[in-house]
Amino acid sequence: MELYFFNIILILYLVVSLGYLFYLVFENETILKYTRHLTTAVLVLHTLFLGGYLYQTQELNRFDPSFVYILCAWLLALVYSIYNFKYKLKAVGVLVFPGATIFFFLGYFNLRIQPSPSVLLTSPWASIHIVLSFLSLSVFVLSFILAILFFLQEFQIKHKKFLSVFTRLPSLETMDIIHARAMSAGFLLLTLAIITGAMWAYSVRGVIFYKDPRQLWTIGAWLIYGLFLQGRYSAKWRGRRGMLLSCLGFVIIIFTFVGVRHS
Amino acid sequence: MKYFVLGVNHHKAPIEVRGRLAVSKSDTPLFLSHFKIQSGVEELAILSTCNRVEVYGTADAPVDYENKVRLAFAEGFGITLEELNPYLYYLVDSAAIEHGFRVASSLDSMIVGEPQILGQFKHAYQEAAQCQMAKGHLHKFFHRSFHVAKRVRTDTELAKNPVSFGFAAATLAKQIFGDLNAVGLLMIGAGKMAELMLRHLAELGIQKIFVTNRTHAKAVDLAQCFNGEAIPYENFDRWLPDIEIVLTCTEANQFLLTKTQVGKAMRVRAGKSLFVVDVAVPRNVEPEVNELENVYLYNIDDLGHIIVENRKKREQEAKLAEEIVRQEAFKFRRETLQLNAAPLLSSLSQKMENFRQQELSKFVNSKSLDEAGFREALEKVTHGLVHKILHDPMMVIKEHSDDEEVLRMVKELFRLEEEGSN
Repeated sequence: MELYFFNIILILYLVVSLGYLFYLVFENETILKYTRHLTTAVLVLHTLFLGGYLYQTQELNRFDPSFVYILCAWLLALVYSIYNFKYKLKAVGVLVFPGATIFFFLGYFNLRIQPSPSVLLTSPWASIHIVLSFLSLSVFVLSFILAILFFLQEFQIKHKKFLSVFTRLPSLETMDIIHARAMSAGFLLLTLAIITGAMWAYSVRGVIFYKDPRQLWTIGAWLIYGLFLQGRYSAKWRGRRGMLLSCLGFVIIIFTFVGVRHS
Repeated sequence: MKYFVLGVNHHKAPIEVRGRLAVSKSDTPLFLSHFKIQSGVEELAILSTCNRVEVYGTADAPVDYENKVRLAFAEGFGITLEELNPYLYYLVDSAAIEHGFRVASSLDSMIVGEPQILGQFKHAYQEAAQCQMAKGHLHKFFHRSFHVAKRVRTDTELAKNPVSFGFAAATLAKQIFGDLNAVGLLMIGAGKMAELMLRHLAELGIQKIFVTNRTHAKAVDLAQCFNGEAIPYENFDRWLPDIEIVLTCTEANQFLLTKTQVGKAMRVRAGKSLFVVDVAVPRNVEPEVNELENVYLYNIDDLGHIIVENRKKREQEAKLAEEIVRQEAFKFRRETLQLNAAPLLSSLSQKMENFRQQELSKFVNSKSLDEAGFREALEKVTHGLVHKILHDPMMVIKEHSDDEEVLRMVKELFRLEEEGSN
C-alpha cells in the first residue's frame, strides 16, 4: 500500500515537472492552470504520505535517509506553492519540481535501506542534525534556482536580447525578494544544523569541534551566506551581487554534501 | 435569420469622418431605439470606438433591409447618406459573422492584437442587452465572438508581444518590478509623446507620478491628468532616490541625466532597480548610465528594435489567428442554419408521426389476426404509410416537373443519384 502510494506521488511529481516544462516551451495558460491543480494535488498527497510515514515509524531519534529525502521534496514543493500563491511564479516550477522529484526519487531509492546501525547515529542529535542539514539544503536549492533564473532574466533586460521565456519568468524584484527570504530561512536552518552537529560531536567524541573537513567547509558556506545577509540587510545589496554570493555558497554546500566525508 | 453588420472603420474612413460618428454611452439607448424604428430591424447592437462605429443586427433577409439600415445609420448621426456612403460597408451572413469575430479578436484593429477591443465589444453587447435589443440571435453571436477572441488569445501569441513604445516600456517595467502599484515614476517632459507613454504606464496601476518640464505650467497640466505632482525642473534629480521609473521625452540638446547623477542616486537608493526610458531625440540620458548596476536604460532605438521584432512575430501569429476565425465563423454559421431549420424539421416530424398514428390505428382495428390476415394487414399499413409520405412530394414534383432546381433538390433530398450509382 505504502509503495503504491509512493509510486503515485512520484508519477505526479514527474507529470508536474513536465507540465511546467511544456508551459515554458508553449506558453499555454491552460497547461499552467492544470499543472497548478496537479501541484496542489501532489502536495496534499505528499503531506498525507508524510503523516502516514511518521505514524507508522513513530520514532524520529534514528537516522532514516528515506524520510529525510521525502521531507526535502515536500519542503521544496510547499515553499514553491506558498510563494506561487502570492507572487505567481509561473515557469519557476520548471526547475523546482525536477529538484523535488529528484529528492523524492532518492527517498524511494533509500526506502528499502534499513536505518544505519552505526553507533555514531544512535545519538538523538544525529537525526536532528541530519534533518536540519537536508532542510537547509532544500531551501538553498530553491534560492539557487531563483538566482539562476534571475541571472537569465537580468541578462535579457540589461543586454536587450530577449528569449521566448522572457514573459514566462517572474519579475526581477519578485525573484530578489523571494531569494532573500529563502536565504534567510536557509541560513537559520544551517545555523541550527551546525549547532546540533556540534552537540552531536560532543555527545559522541566529547568535543564540539574536531577539525573535521565537513565542519570546516560547512562553516565556510555559512560565512558566505552570512555575508550575503549582512550585505542584503545592512548594506542593501540587491540584484546580481547578492545572487553571485548565493551561488558561491551553494557550490560550497553541494561540495560539502557530496564531496567531503567526515574524518 | 441572418446576421448583418454596417459600419465605418479606420481602413476606409478618415479620422474627421470617424470623429463625427462617435456614440457616447449615454446616447446609445436613444440611438438604438431610433435605429430600430427607422430600419425595422428587431435585434441591434452598436460598437463605437476611436477607430470604428459598427451596427450589428439580425434580419430574415438582410439584403432587403440594406437601404433602410444605411439610411437609419446616416440619420442617427445627422449626416446625409450621400456623404457617408463612400465609407460605409454592409456585410451579411457569413461575411458579417467573420467580420465580427475578426473585430473581437483584434485582427481588424489599427494595432493588431491590442487588448482593448474585446472590452469594447463586450460593452457594446451589454448596452444592447440592457436596452432589450440583443435577444437570442445576437446573444449567441456575441458570446461566440468572446469565445473566439479568447481562443485566439490563448492559442496564438498575437497579443503577447508589445508593438508600441508605451506598451513595450510597460511590459519591461512589469518584468523588472512585477506589481507596479508601489512604484514611483518621474516624467521629464510634458509633450504629446510623453503623455502617451505615461498613459500606458499609468494603466498598469502606478500611483506615484511626478512630472517635470522646462515650462512648469505644462508639467502641472500633465500631472493633473494622472493625479500626479509637478516638481521643479531645476533640481528634479533630487527625486531620483524615491522613484523606480524615469521617462524622458524633451527636446533638450544636452544630457539631462548623466552617469554621475544616476550613480549618486543609486547609492542613496540602496541598490533598488531603476528603469530609465529615454524616448527623446536627441537623447536626454547619457548611454553609459546602462553600465551602472541595477540600472536598465532603454532609448527609442532599443524600444524600436523590440517593436520591429514583435511586429514580425505578430504577422506570423495573425495568420494562425485568421485561420481560427475562419473555422469558428464556418462552424457558427452552420449551427445558425441548423437552428433556422429547427421549426421545419419539427413540423415534418410531427406530420410523419400523424401518418404513423393513422396507419397504426387501422392496423390495431383489423380483426383478422391469423398469419395470412396479419400479413395482409401489414401490407396495407406499410403501403398506406409510403403512399401518405410520398403523396405531397410527388404532387410538388409533378407541378414543378420543368424546374431543374426542384428536381435537383428532390434527388439530393432522397439521395436518388447515390443509390442509382450504387
